[in-house]
Amino acid sequence: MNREVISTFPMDTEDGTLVVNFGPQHPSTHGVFRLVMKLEGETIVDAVPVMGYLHRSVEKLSESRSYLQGIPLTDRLDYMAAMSNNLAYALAVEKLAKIEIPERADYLRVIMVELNRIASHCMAIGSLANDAGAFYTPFIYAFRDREKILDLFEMTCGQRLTYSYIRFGGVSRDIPEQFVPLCRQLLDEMPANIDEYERMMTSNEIFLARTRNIGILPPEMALDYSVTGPMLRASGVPHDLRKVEPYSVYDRFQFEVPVGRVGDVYDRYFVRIQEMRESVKIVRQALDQLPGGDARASLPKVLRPPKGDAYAQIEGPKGVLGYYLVSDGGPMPYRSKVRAPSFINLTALRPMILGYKVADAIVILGSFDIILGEVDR
Amino acid sequence: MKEENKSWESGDTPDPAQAATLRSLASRALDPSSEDTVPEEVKGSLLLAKLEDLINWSRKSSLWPLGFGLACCAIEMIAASAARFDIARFGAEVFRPSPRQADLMIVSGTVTTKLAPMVRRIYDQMPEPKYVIAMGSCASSGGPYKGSYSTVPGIDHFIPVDVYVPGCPPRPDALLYGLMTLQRKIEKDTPLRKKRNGRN
Amino acid sequence: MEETNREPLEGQPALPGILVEARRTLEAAGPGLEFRELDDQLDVSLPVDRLIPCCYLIKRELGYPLLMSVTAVDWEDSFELVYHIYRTDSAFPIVLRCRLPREENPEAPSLVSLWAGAEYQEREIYDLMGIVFTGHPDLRRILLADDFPGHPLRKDFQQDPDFVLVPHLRVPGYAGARPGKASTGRFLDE
Repeated sequence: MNREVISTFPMDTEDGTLVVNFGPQHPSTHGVFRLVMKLEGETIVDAVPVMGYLHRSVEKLSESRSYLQGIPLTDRLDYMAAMSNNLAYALAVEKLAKIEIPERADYLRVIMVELNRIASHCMAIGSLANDAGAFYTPFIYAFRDREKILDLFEMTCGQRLTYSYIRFGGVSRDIPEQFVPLCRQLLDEMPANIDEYERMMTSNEIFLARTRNIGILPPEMALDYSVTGPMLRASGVPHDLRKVEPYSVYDRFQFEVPVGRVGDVYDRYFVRIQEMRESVKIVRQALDQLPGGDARASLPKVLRPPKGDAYAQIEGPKGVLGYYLVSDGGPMPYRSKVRAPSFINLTALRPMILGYKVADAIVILGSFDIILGEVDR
Repeated sequence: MKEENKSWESGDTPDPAQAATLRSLASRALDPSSEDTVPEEVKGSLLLAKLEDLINWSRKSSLWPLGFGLACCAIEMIAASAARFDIARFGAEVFRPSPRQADLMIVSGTVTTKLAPMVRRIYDQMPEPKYVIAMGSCASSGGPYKGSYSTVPGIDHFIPVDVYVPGCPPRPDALLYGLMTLQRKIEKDTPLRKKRNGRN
Repeated sequence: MEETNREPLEGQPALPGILVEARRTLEAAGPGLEFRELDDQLDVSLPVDRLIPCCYLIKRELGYPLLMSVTAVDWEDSFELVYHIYRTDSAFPIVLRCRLPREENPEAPSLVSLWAGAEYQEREIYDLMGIVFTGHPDLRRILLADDFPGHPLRKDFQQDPDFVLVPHLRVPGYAGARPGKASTGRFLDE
């Protein structure tokens, strides 16, 4: 009855090693991810990651949907930070079809994306603490902050998780009046909340023992494995697309890029905490500089970009998220490809967990901060 | 205890006064209009109900869900168990990692053809009585991915579903409403008699 | 090559300095490369056998350490492989394009020896498009089950409509939500 055929190494071994299956249904895999591990005692001697359990064929479906209809498909890729996905897709379509957007829309986009980055990092830190053994306490605190941000999003576009708010041409609608005062209130409370997470975890003995010097990723290896995002920055490479290749209006804000030193799990956690603080700064500046005007450009009902291709990338919370769109002049994209950061970061998983114990492997996987919607598309 | 039961079945009670008191209590409890339904000395310590109602009440008030979050709906399921929406009010906060200890499978997310054998295997591993909530439009009918080459258009093609919660993703309140609907469905269940819905 | 909507702007240098230097180095390496300069990237079309030497030059001599993306596009008469290669300090990539014949399993060299990050991306292209990468350490399906028939992202991919209904996994005694219908799972059939 079970027709599943997954080729990994043979399950029965004669050299005394044990083959253990981790996932796809497991509380710590951050989704339907499977890791087949060969253990010598508790130490991992070989590992095969198996993914594709959530492969929903987004790329093929986009080929039979118009550009506008493809926006909800993009939301559900990295569902923790759906605004970033929307932004990458919107930038790619705007590059392809040469669309100019009003300035207010640009600022609104930055505000939404950075708020979403805070929400996504909240969850990442919460689940990393979960993996390290803090049974749900930091997780529930993180969700408290997420709920406040999700309230703001729900006020704006009606959705809590998959927004379809940022579209090519601008954003789908302007923000209501009570958005700005509530957002400022949230930003005033946010640094205190981040301090609370730091009090719980940053100098916590147990957390330090579980995460210091675990899963070290040297910078050359990170670049070789095309790792991007907080993982690359924690390894010491100051690569942040918002500074290297400023898209939207990021070149008008003052913020810093946190860079780690060692490249272990603790550095990745700390880089995310610092990024949350920097995002608060960016949103504050964007609210101060928010101009008036339209929130969206007027576009034809059915967008038919001229023939050609375009690749646009943004710095999402997980890494560099890119969209490669090929148009043949029709209303639907000829090819739509997602450069998914979690998928490509996972290339580095296997070399990083060899030699560690199973419990460490779980913490290392938690520090990758993968989202299976993106990994499997 | 056993001797008492034996003598009760055989017809002659050890203490006729005790038996008469119990019988009158039972008849009066079933009749809410009578004035002195329960005597003072047993008030608050005697509960009379149908066994089926008691079983259904205990099952619906302590549903143990399986931690089976697949995709975006899983985040809303987690939010439903977080502090704001609090699934613990309904007794269902104990998300079990193993299907052998769970009785409710909330399929939250898209089921693909690669994962479908696992879903079936996990469903088989759950002991009876088990319930399935299809959360989200992907689990109910394929969702935005209907028509793709690898998405199963709804888990009800291969697993019997008790409650469908539509939405993409459904709000945590919607999931809680689905849970309450499942609880109302369990209330009407007939565990001691032949099942009406044809399951097992 | 198909027409494009992105031509070099009039009156401005078509390329930033760093890409001009890259073009000079690549041109000096040998014939067979076609260049197209756009205002923010250098497009290089090359035959498949020049792929590895060019990438070696780009990585070692020109100092482009980050392979951002490996894509394949199915034109009806050929396949096209597109590589985006970046530096960590500059916004301007080199974009390599290779055309492959449209066969059952066209072959291309694997870049895993240069950039280990190409491993999963090439496996995905093999899985969804059927292009075989020679020299890849572990070329097997990654996103679909190992026994999935066909390569779905091709334009001529056909599938049995009952494949997604997984009838072999149905719980015994359960008739299925829509019993008796060979539903295609598409909207309009119900």
